[in-house]
This record gives sequence, C-alpha cells and structure tokens, in this order.
Amino acid sequence: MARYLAARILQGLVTLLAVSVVVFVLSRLSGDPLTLIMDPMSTKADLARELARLGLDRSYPEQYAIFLLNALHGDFGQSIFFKRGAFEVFLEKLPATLELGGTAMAVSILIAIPVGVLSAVHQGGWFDRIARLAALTGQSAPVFWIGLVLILLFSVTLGWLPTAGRGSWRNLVLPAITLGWYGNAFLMRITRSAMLDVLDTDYVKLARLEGLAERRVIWKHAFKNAATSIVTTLGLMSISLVTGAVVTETVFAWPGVGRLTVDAIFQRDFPVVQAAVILIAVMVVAVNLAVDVVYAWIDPRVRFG
Amino acid sequence: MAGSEVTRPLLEVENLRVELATRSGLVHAVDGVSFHLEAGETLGIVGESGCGKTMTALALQRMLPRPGGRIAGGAIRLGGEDLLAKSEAEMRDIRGRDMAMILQDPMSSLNPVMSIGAQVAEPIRAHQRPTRDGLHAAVLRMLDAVRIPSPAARAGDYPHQMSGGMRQRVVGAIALSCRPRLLIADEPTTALDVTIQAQYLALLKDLQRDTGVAMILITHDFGIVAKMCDRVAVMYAGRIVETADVRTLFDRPAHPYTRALLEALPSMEQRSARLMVIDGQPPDLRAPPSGCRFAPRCTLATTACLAEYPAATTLSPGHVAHCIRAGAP
Ligand SMILES: Nc1ncnc2c1ncn2[C@@H]1O[C@H](COP(=O)(O)OP(=O)(O)O)[C@@H](O)[C@H]1O
Ligand SMILES: [Mg+2]
Repeated sequence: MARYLAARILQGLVTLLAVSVVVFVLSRLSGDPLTLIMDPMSTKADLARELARLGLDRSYPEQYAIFLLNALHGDFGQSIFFKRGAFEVFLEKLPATLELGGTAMAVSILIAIPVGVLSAVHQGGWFDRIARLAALTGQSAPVFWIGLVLILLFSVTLGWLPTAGRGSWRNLVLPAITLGWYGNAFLMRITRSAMLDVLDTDYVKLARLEGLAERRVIWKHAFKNAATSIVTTLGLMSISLVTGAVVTETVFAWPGVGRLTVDAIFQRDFPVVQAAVILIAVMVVAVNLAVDVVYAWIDPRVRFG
Repeated sequence: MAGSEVTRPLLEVENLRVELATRSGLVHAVDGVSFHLEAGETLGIVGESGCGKTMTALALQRMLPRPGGRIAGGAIRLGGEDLLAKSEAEMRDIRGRDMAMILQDPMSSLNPVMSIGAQVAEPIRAHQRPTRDGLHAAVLRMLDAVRIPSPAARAGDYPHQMSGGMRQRVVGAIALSCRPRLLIADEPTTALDVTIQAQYLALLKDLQRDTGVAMILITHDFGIVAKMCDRVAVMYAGRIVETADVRTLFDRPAHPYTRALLEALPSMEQRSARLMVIDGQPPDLRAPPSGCRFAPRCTLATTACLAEYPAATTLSPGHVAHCIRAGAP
C-alpha cells in the first residue's frame, strides 16, 4: 500500500514537472511579453533594464529554475492585466469553478451511477434503452452546443433561468448541467458495462445461489467490484471537467478560472496563464491521487499487492 | 401423509426438461431427466462435457442462465415440496439454506473484494438472523470445519491471498454454512491439482459424514465416482442413459456409452489428462436425433436404434438402462 501510494505520488510529481517545463517553454516561444508591457517610446536602455528586472536576460535553464522555485512559493509573477499577483488572481476565481465543477461532478455521480447500475440490471429493457439513448446524445454533442441549446430553451424561450453570471442557485443550474452532461454520459456507460461484466461472474452467480436478496447481490457483491472501474472513470472525468469548464464558463460568462485562463490568453497575460495551467494541473493530479487512494481502499488486490 | 414422508426421497426429479434460447436456436440442454436422491446419499452424474450436467444442476436451484434459460417441463420435489411451484422469494429462502452449490472454478467463485470471513457470513446472515458474536463464531467454525488453518487469523484474508485448493475449501464452507440437506458439487475438483483433488474429495466425504448432507457430484471422472458415490447416473446429450449403484455400474455396465466411458477411463497416472475420448461428437442439442442419441457413435447400433428413443430396461433393482440391447444376452 505504502509503495503503491509512493509510486502514485511520484508519478504525479513527474507529471507536474513536465507540465511546468511545457508551460515555461511555451511562454518563452509565444512572443515577447515586453512588447505588451513596454511603452512603445522606451529606449534600448529602458528595455535592457526591464529585461534584467524580469530576469529575462539570463540563460533559459536559469530562468526555468527561478520560475520553478518561485512557483513553489506560489509566486507566478505579477498579472500584466490585473497588476496584482497572478496566484492571487487565480485564487479569487477558484471558488466559482469549484462550485461549478463540484456541482457537476456530484450530479453526475448521483444520477449516472444509479442509472448505469439499473441499466445493467435490466439489460435490454425499456429503462436501459432510454438511458443508453440519453448517454449517446450526451457523448456526441459538444459542450458549447449543449450550453447554447439549454440557454435558448430555458433562458431565452421559457425565461426560467438566467443566461449568464454567478449568484443564486438559479445561475448554477444551466452551467452545471452543461458541464456535467458529457461526464454523466461517460460515467453511465462505464458503470453499465462494468456492472454487466461483474453480473456475469461466477461469484455473483454464487451469491445468488446462496439465496441472498437481489439488492444485496447487486450492491454489495456486484457494485463493489464494478466500483473499481467507476472510480478510475471519476479520475478521467476530472480532466474532462477542466476542458469542459473552459468552454462552459465562457458560454455562461461564469467568473471562474476557466474563463480567466481564456481571457488571459487573449490578453497575453502570461503570468496568469502559467499560474492557471500549473494550478489546474495540480488539482487534476490531486484528484487522481485521491482516486488512487479510493481504488486501493476498494480493491484488496491493490492494497496488499 | 406423515407415513409416506418417511419413505419419500429427499429429492425427486421427474422428466425434467431445460431449454435455452440462443441466437442460433433453441437448445434442448436437458431433455427428460429423472432421478432421485435419498437423504445423506451421494449420486454421481457423469458424462462428457456439454451433455447437460450443469444445466440440470442449475435447474434444481431454478437458477438457469438469464435471459434464455427456462424449465420447459417436469417436476422437482425437495423434501416432498414442489420447487417449480415456488415463488422467486420462496426459492431465495431455499437456496443456500436447504440446497447449496459448489462451482467448478475456485479462482472465480469468490468475490475478490470481500474477505473470506465476510463471504462465509453471507448465507448465514441471509437465512438465520444471527447475533454479531454468533455470526463471527459460526464463520470461524465453518472455516475450521473445512480445515482452513488458524481460521481466526485467516478470516480477514482475501481470495487472491489463497491457493485454488484453499479457495475451494472456502466455497465449501459457504455452501455448508447453513447446514443444507442437499449439496450440488459441479466438477468441484476439475480445476485443482491432482494431489489437492484427493484432499478436497476426502474433505467433502468427511463433511458429509459429519453433517449427513446428501450430495450430487457432477464429474466426468469415473475415478472420482468410484471413490465418492453411492449411485451413478450416466448422462448423454441431455438424457440419463443409465443409472445404477456404483458397484453394479462398474461391474456390469449395460449401456454402450457407459462402457465406452469406462474403457476410456484414464489410468491413475494419466488422470490429469482430463478428457475422455470416444470417437465422434455428441449430437447438436438444438436438433437431437429422434432415436437413441448415442446411436451415431455406437459400434453396436442397428437401424432399430434410430427408430425411437429406447425405453427404460430394468436390469436389476435400481439398475436401469435406455438401450434396446440392455438385458439381452
Ligand atoms: N449460457 C448458455 N447459453 C446457451 N447455451 C448454453 C449455455 N450454457 C450451456 N449451454 C449449452 O447447453 C448444453 C448443456 O450444457 P452444460 O449443462 O453446461 O453441459 P455440461 O455441464 O454437461 O458440460 C450444451 O450444449 C451447451 O452448449
Ligand atoms: Mg458443466
């Protein structure tokens, strides 16, 4: 167990290191930020002074080392647009995204998992057919399209819910549905197929031959085994939530880190882009680490392996 | 009524028929099987693979594969009670409590994410409403009964930490945990090493002596039959072709199929070469031949064998064969 976790943590750290390198290289490749900051009338001497102040006159490895060291201290530099610490800017927008992502994830778990289980148990029945059809639309429709359709229907046509912004729960409904849609479909399909596999095993057959109640066979014996695949899926979903959040927050003008990142890219606000990409990566790695812990907790073969 | 129950067998199966609806057609997996079992007795069901042994066993528990499997006819009575008239809820009470099963492959029979102690506890919890302490004690008693060394220490182990032989013992503990009257063991040692096989069979025999459970032992190994069974039913293509007590069957096999099986019996050293070899293939159970089903492979077959299914010939009390030549000199 300890070795398993140590390996997972190491893997996460390597991932983050790789992300930091990519972010650093991209930020240095994609044009000179000074052209944005500097007054067009400034002299060569001004430029050199500013380069030195920002450390841009040093070698790339040196620059990277400083960048990494600072990042570890939560220092991603000053936001060019906000004129404040990029980390601080990111943290300000984080609660909105956690609220949206957490709601989407919770709704997915509460809906997709039971639906997937029921679909598998009643394989081929009417419930299964409807659920699979719904999952199919969920997986084939792009996130922004779902968002726009929902806005058209519930905001523009029916006028029930606001089109944009953050505030009451009414603001949360449409973006959460939009963001959760794809993951919901994905999770439902994975749950269903994992349950179908498990329901076909000898140990489930034996549980029924022991005269156990069907409810116990399904949840205690079958579902707990299917849960290993489901939990892994939750890790993957956390990644799709990130990409989904960028689109959803843009469509619904949701003031979270997804939209912040998009805006920062267009404003060439590199410190914010760097902070956002790295901190989002940290969150994804953390979620996946949590998934690995839950996985080990469910499956004794991992725990004692 | 009370008087007749005393003499009544524990299990009576009459003209049982099982159909499996598959994509390629309706499989008549069991096609008119009758046998009975006395309390405490061991009946061997022997036959080549695919002849309907497992489907017979599952039909007794009303646990045929779903969707597609169904009991198409016949009667099953356990302790005089008609099992085909029971509701699904009533069957759930009977399964695990009155009859239990051991499946073929111990590597897949146990739940990988539940400790073995918890798995042995499942049927007890389902059927007996035990107290916490009582349940714990019962689990340890069962693990001890199947000779799992230091049960208290092993109860928290998971299946992947145990060998196949040990796992099959746990399956045995699960099966016998509610003291059933009937145990159905479907090739319980086929997946085990030869030395472990012998140990396991000896264990089953001891458990049977201690609990008085009646046993249906499904196998394709006549060596196991000789060691374990009181009576044998030989199955071919969905039907029982010959029934006798073990001695009689070995000494005076009446059906050519039984004889062929006995001749194909591997010597003790070759026991691990599991398949019995008789020339030809068993018939397709989607469209079984109307006459004797073994006729196409039988060296003694005549045109008369193809006309209709041979009626039962009683050769001696309890020795019945379905062959037109049975009893003829
Ligand atoms: N799940 C299933 N679906 C359809 N047909 C099956 C299934 N299981 C077994 N059969 C068919 O039923 C017949 C009897 O099988 P089975 O009872 O398993 O034989 P045995 O246990 O004697 O080897 C075989 O012809 C087999 O092909
Ligand atoms: Mg079988």
